[in-house]
Amino acid sequence: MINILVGCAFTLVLFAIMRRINHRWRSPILNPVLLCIVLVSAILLFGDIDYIDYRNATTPISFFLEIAVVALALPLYQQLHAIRPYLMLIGLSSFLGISCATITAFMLCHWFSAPEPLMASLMALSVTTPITLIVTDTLSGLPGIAAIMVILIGVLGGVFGLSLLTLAGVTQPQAKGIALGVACHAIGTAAAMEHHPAAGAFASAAMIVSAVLTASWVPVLFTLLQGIIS
Amino acid sequence: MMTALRFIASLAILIGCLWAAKLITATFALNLPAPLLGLLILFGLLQSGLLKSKYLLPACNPILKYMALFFIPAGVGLINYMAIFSQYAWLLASVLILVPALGLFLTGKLASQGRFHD
Repeated sequence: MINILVGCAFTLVLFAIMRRINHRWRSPILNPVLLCIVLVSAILLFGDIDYIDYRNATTPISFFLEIAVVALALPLYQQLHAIRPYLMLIGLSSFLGISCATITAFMLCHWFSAPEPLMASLMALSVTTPITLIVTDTLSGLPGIAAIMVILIGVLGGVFGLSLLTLAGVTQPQAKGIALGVACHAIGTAAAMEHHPAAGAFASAAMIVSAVLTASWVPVLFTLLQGIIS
Repeated sequence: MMTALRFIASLAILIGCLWAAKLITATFALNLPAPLLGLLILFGLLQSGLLKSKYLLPACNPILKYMALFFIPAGVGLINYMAIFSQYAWLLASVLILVPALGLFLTGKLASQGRFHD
């Protein structure tokens, strides 16, 4: 058994250290969450500590996951007047991006004949992790797999996203921002912010709009896709 | 002291919205995730002017800034699925590459139809 104080303090300190490392070298590959997950996993595996014990010891941290989703209302409200003229475009882009991500993942799972719980974990990967975890839970998927995949998608988008968009002939920073926010959530948004302030603003708006859309649309789309296949 | 009180007050608003949402989704057996409904409730409160955004800032700012921290316990859950990771490595690798690449490409193409002015 690990005590709640030890579990939380350890995770917090590790996260603070990883953030410092990330700030020092500024590389999306050194994503603090990714580093923390890999390190904690390694420690649990080598220390022969049960995951259930660690999870119970960190319930105060996980408690904030749902609170964080509610808190997203504030940036959405603050940005609403700036993005209002483009709300339709952002909404349509999010809808296209999310549907495309879900359909692609679904087809790949079908192709590789993935078991149901694995498939359910790969349906909502382009949005911010708390939404993914909530959707994964709704579809009875495996949260550990969903969380790590979302983070890796964000990291890949942060590293290669802007070059891919340039290659695709997307030139306006606003459009690049929308694409990064829809496809690569918070990590893509951070990359967009570094690229251009307008790209950053549109990316965070697109990220929040897709979060709301994903939570309501992906479970429906998943049921539809299953209906078509069977 | 005041900062701590302000933080607690604004955290209480967030928890209040979440609990209200949980109560509603449970009562009406809605399929909508409760935190999302909580987001919409809070957004409605802000939009209607019933709630000023300055009351929310003390808790929302740190929570959103350090949001990534809250995923660590769930992410570590991957150690329970090591077998699936190795068995479906090719599937997971293709999802990792195709999902963001297609998403960025299509969304970028659609979004560049917009007429943005600086």
